[in-house]
Amino acid sequence: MMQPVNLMVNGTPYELLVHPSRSLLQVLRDDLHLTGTKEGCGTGYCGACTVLVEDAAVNACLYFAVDADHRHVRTIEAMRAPDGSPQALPAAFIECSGLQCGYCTPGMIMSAAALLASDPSPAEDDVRSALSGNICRCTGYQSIVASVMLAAARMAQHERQTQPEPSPRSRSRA
Amino acid sequence: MSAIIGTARTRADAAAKATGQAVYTADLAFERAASGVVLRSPHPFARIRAIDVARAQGMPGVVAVVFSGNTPRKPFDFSIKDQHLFPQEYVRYKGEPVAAVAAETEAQAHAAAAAIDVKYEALEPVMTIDDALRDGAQLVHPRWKAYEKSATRFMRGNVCGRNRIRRGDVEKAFERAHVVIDSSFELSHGIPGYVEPRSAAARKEPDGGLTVWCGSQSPYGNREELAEFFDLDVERVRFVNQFVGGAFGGKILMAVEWFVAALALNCERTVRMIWSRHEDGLHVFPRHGGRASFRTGAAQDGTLLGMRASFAFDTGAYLGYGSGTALIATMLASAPYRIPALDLEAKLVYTHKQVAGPVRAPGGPEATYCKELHIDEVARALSVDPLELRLKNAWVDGDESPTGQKLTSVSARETLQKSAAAIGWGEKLPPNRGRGLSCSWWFSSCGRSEAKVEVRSDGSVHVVSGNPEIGTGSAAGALPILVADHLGIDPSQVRLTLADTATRTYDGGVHGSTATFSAGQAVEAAALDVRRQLLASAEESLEARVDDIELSGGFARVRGFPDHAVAFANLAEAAGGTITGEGGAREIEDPEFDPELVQSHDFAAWMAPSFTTSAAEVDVDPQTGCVKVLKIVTAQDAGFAINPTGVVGQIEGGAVQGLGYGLTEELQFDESGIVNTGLKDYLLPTAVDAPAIEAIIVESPSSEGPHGMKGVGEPPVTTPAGAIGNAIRDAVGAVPHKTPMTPERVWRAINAI
Amino acid sequence: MLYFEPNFVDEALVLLDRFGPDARVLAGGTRLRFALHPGDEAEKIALVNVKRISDMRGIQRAGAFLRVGALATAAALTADEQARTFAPLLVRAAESLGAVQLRNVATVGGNICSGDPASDLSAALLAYDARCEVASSQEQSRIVAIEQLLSKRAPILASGELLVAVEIPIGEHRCAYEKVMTRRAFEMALVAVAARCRLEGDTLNDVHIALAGAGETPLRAAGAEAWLRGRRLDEATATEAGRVAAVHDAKPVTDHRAGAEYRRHLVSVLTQRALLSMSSSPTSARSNL
Repeated sequence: MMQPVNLMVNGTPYELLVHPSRSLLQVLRDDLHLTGTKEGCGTGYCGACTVLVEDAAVNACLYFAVDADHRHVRTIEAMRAPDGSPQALPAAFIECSGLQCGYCTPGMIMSAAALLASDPSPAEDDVRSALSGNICRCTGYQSIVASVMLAAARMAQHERQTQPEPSPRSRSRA
Repeated sequence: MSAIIGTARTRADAAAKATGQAVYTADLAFERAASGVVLRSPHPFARIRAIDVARAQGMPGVVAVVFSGNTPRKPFDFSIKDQHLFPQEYVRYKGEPVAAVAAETEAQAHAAAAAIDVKYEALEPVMTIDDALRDGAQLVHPRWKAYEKSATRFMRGNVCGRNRIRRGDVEKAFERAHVVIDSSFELSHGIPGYVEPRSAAARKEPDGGLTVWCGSQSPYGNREELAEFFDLDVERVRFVNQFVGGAFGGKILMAVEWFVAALALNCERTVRMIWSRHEDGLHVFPRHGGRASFRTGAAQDGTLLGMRASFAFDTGAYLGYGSGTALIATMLASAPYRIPALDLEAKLVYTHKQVAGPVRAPGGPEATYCKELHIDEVARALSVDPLELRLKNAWVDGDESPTGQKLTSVSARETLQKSAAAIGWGEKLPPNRGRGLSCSWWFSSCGRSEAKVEVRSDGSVHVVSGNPEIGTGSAAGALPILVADHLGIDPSQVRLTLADTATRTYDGGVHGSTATFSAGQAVEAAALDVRRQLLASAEESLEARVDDIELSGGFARVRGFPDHAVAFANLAEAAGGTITGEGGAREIEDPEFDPELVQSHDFAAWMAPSFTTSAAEVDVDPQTGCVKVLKIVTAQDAGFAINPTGVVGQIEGGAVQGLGYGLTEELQFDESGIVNTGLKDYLLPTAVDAPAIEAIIVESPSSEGPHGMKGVGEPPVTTPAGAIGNAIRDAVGAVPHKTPMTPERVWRAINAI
Repeated sequence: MLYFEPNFVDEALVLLDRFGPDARVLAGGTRLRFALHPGDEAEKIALVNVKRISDMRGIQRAGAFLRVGALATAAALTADEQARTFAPLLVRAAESLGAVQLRNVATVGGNICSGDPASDLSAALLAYDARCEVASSQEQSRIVAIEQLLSKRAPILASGELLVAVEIPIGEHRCAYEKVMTRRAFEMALVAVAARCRLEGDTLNDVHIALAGAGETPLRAAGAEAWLRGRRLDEATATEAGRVAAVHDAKPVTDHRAGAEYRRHLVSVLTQRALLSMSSSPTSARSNL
């Protein structure tokens, strides 16, 4: 029996009919063609499929799509500015070579995004803990941790620069 | 002096990967593709009495069923033809494919696979090396005597290979020695651990050809093998490689590609298969498990006199990559130390397990872990500092390798000294903290590789190479640098077309630390060819001498008159649209060695050998056996680092893979097969397990490699486990002689239970 | 496959009753997904998503208890002020569960009902002597001691039953959580010890010790608790209590993750450490060093 599901993904509303056994990952990849989110293990033990549901990092492979009804989902596809350029986090991963094969990267960036939303200036150990559910086999994590620290510093700097005169427009966008 | 080669650069694929736009095989969209599934044996060993696919063929949605009855029956594999696409008589491991089905939906394919009626007669499996070597043991291959094999391959019953290096008289050396030390070790099987499970799609083409979409380390090699097996015209088989989500040796041998190809050849549909982690785990080509024993005699002053080492590797149901692992283990067992008398042997043993494969530096972490723990034991017995003992015996230029190769550009001592200094060797430590060292050597290799570099009429610069980018950066990181330097542009402006066999730029693939060595040479040669053509064409249009023209920013300019310039675009236009340069990797002769010293070695001399030392500092909880690695330093000889960021990436990643090998990773088997196919219980290191890593690039140039480089992908995974093991012993006085050194095993070692 | 989102416990119970063994309660869903591979079997399943049931949500004080809805996630526990104040041991256990992604969805109810012997949350709740509110279509809602619920292996609830909430007695106490894994993060415990007590001077009172990974179910270390009652907390006492817990209370098994002998040893070391850390600090948690 298919279930109606209303999803808000990266700001776009979708009305879908979904079989209750399907995961959020399957719906994102197969129905919405948002293939930036990857499946690595399908059991919640690698983090490649990490997306944000209501700003909380979850494994999309374990998340029932029907359970995401009327919730906001954010994926790696949302990590680009309107002009297509990468936002602070992916930009830092590019700059610090915080990736090699790139398969864990979308999930890694979404976990980092959740961390920085709740803790804008984490210590290195906090970054490591926050990313402990995301397995990377290529990098040894050092460049990933450096990427997140750099993004945090950049975002804090940006915050400082924009804070004195918050323009009403940018505020409403946020 | 080059302005670009050897400088840190952003890799070409970074932006696509960091924003989720990079397309991996499972991300491809196909119109009306059928879903394929593989039916696998539930038994580790059984005789197949009958297979009936009739009912499955009639199930809803089914478009093709393939099994031993309708696919070629010829055997394949490396130096022993012991394997079939689908087993003909026996299944030899739990999870071995016996049939495959394609259907409209995955659920229909699963249902049809379940309807295939296979009559098995279950037999008693041989699950360990001990069982396989026992007198009267069940033969994994009852008909082994009839197998076709290469002339040098040793085979007897369940032993399917033996390599040996012998020089001098080890017994005499032991008699003369002040101490003779024995050590023995057990080694776990491990998985490559790529995060992307394997997937592929295939479609029959109207011209009788076949297109395969996949993420392979060796698309050209796989294409040849596939064409030969299915009797297809190789030129009509096309492999289109996608981004590869990690490989580490696990994507060299075909796996999923076989089955989508077999199914696609039997229907009129594109067939795709996306393996789950569990299925990928059942079909894994693991790192060899096994055991080893070492005996070394040394003089009182620490001079090493003689060594006997013996490995037995569990290669699983078929030979797989056993030959390489065994050979490499013997080459590493005594290296990089000057030991006059050697008897080094490695045996390969069949069991009813998955087929062991070439996981990143096959034989490397295995042999280095054993050898380096053993060397520390010799040093301890003599009360000699382990660093001092290593420095005293380490090869220098002019020394001979175990097989009689004259060595040059030897940097063993330099890597030892630099890593020891960086870890604070000799400084006092608090209780339960320790430091350890581990040193080894590795080879580069050079394979056939072709490349084109094109300057098109819009001025853009394109590299076409057969080399796949598997994540290491050997293509996306290094190739643009090599081209940009010669064309005077920024590496970010170089566009890459990689590993599509339709481009007819052959490449032997990414393995054996060969990628930049071979493809880099080919691409650089092609870039030089384009450069010559650009200059020649500019000579005419600028009316200047070639020597006075420089290439910069997409223009050919007259030196000293930067405005007197012509754009690449115009030069390409004038040449009819595109200027194409072609290049190939030059053939390099293997170094000489002494054939009298070796037995069964397919290659016994190492090209452009490199040296690597890891140093580790650990904190051990002696009550629980828990180990925290605080720091790993790896000093690695890259010969010359074309792309230093990439080299550091290999060292850092290798450090943590080596840590996993040493501390947490173990593919476990029960009496019938793998217990932990998933990542819940196969413990890949997390960001919390990973220590601070210091990468030290040593540059002792080779005479063979482009710009003096040496292969860098495999060495850094070989040394960390030994360094961690030695650090554990330094901390608490004991170390398990078994990988992984889990808390339980460390606790047992401390308490000698 | 059928799917329901009942609004009230009673509605959920009607569904559980109607579908009997084919009903599956969806809370965090992390374990359930594996049981639902496509196929005829899965098609019979009725998935009952209980997220709308307000009785099963929330963390609040209720008289002498902290009431934690079965749907409270590990992440919600770690962020909740009342939980941090009144159930610090449960918070410490929740912090060590899995990784961020799992903590954001894994629920208290799901952890208990999984019956996993190494469950972090179950061990902490055992050490609290928590009470569980179990609703059933057959009878009145009943209150069951967590120890009784966890005394059998999964499925720990009968068909038609629903775990609604757990209630943790509020009181002054010290606590400690000690855990050992093979990897340093993102793994279930090989063995974990959850302990709490009251200290009057240096005399131990109201000692509760629970063991994860030390048997086929999470266990109370009743022998060690009894031996400790009224004793002075010092190194010798802690060591002996560890020994008693290891020898008399633990019923470790050997599996592919660890041997029984090592697990028994860990019970002894971690019990001793938990006791000693309670003497020096009111609340603490440690994993692998």
